[in-house]
Amino acid sequence: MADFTAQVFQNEYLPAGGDTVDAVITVNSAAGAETSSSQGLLEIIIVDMSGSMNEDGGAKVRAAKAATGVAVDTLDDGVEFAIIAGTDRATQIYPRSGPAVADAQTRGEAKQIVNRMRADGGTAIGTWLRMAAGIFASRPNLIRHSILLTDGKNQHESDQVLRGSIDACVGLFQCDCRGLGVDWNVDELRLIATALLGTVDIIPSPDEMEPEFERIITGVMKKQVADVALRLWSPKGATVEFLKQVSPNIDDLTPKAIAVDALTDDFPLGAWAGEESRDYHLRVKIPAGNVGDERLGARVMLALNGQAEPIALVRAVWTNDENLSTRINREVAHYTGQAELADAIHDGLAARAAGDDDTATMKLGRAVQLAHETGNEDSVRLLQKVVDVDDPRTGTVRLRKQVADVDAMALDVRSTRTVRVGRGS
Amino acid sequence: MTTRTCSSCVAQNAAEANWCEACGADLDAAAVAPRLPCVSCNAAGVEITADGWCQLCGTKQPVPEDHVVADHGWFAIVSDRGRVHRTNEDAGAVAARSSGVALVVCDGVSSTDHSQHASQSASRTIIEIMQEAPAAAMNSAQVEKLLVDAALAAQAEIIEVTSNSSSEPPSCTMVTVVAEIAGAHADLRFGWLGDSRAYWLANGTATQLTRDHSWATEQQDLGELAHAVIDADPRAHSITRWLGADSHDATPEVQTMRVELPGILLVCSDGLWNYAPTEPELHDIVYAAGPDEAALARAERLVAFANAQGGHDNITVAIADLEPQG
Repeated sequence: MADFTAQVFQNEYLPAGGDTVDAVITVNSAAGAETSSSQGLLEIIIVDMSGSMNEDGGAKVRAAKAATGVAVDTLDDGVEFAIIAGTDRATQIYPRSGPAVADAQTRGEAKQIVNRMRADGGTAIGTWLRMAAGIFASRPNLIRHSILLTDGKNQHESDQVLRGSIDACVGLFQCDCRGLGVDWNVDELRLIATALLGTVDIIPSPDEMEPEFERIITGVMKKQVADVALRLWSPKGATVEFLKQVSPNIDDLTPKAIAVDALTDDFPLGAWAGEESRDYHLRVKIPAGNVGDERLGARVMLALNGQAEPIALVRAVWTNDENLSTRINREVAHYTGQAELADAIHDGLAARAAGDDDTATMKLGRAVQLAHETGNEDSVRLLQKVVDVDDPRTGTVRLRKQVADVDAMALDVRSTRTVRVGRGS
Repeated sequence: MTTRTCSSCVAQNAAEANWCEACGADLDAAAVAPRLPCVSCNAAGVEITADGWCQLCGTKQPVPEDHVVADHGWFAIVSDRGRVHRTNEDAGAVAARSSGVALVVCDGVSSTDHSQHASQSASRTIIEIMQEAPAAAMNSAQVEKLLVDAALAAQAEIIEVTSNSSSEPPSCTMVTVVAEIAGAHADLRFGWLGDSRAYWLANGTATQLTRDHSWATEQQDLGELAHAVIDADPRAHSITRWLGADSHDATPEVQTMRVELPGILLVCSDGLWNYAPTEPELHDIVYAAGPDEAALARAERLVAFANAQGGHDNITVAIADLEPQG
């Protein structure tokens, strides 16, 4: 079982009357004595088999079958798995019902059946998720993960049905979403991935599917503990303004709070690997104390299997010494900048899509400047496919006339990836 | 591997640790923190956590070291955290001797790790030696040897509590005064390292007995720089001698002075004298409430004065009213 530790980065000094406490909390898990997965895993691969997968002379369907085969081959013996084909319906391809246990025989059977799949019909992603949820519900004690691949938009069910389906899946499993090509909707997959504690990314061309599936499954095989939650106690009268995961990517956890008692909330974090590190930015408003007082802004705990261990204290100390209260904490400033970068990219792309070139130029220019300042080289590279950069230090840019859809989508979907302070990309 | 979780800051420590490596809390003491109504919200039925935080409003509860008082009537000591530092790294102790009194003040060097371990160990060790020393009147040479032996014992005790992994081992200043009263006069024997001070106040004047072991004082002795230049130098307050594992010489400077009684003996850390650095200023502050103030009331008032000036450092004041005998 993994052990969790945390480090807090903050300026605890507040001026008289100050009530806002900011802190970056780095949570680390350290591998315990057991190195292999100790909790067991159920993996469900949900692969789009709608008619559009036949485009490009069948390249997409062939790649989807091959990638699903690679995913199955990457599963360790003993891992439970299932495969769902998605159209305007959901069909469990393998096994007939419930999960199978991975071994040489089941892997062979699964790949044979996957190779016989044919693409036909529409896209109803909520229905796919609900079928997966039914299988996951029978295995509450396992680490529960799925890959969802689609090449299109959710056309054959209403937005309301999709949202209802996502809500029904929250807490049942985690879902990493991948969009193939450029005809899918970034906001749609982001909605699913965010609610189901997963990632979203673009797979620009079919030949990139196999390595991506292998990479995802390899990462999942390292997970050791399921259903970890960050538990926050804050004092009476306090408000958690936000709790965001800020590394490896930005994810606002604030709306996911589950009340434990009047002063305590749980924020689900999903499964953790034996050696993993994530950063969180907490902003809490607390009743101001007197100069000289010291108060807890929050007590940070790690909740697992119904037990909570304290891992960090976020403090507030009121002082008249401006040298102390005006200090900028490096980590807090850095992630504030990374969040502004993600917002600038999002707003800039939205303005560009709406034809508002002035706003787009300003926002994307600011994004280039922030990415440059904070050493987010990946974002700089992605931005350069959408704007011509005259001066990264001042954020002077020109919108490119010709921008490939795949580049705009890649920038959008990867805008929330962050770099750590002084640790490069 | 078993570890000890610090109940003050939740850091993990080695099983054999006595002090928290991260925050310096006493791993044994913190576990038995008192459970009292919160000093801030005073809410009924609300518990204080073992690490000293109110479970309702989150206010850190004062720890005993924040304000330490010992009152013996004609002598007393007050040690206070001040307004800025989060912990009181000063420590001090006072004790009666058959023919007088011993006063000790130690000021933990705040740039070192958990320097309160040094100041607390040193003051405790020294006062115990002063209490156990022979009751019969000692000559100056004997008392001076006692002062040196006590400082060296304190040094050994500090090294004992210093973690091997400490890159900035805990260190502190030390000033000890032993007053031996004989009729209408007293012999003051005092030893010190660093910039905590002893003063004798009588007949309308204050006399500084100790001479700071500090960069500023050394430069004044060299006489090569103007006073204004010395005072403006960032190194001015750096101490040049101290107790601690990295001290090059823990033998204190020792002196003796015979004084006519009555008068006031005052020993303090720089948390007080920084706000009254000259002898006349200090005299005026000590007598601001008149000559008849009790030792404890005077010490408390001087601490309050330093806090009113900003309380930028820990403040420790030990006072003895020395009266003629017989």
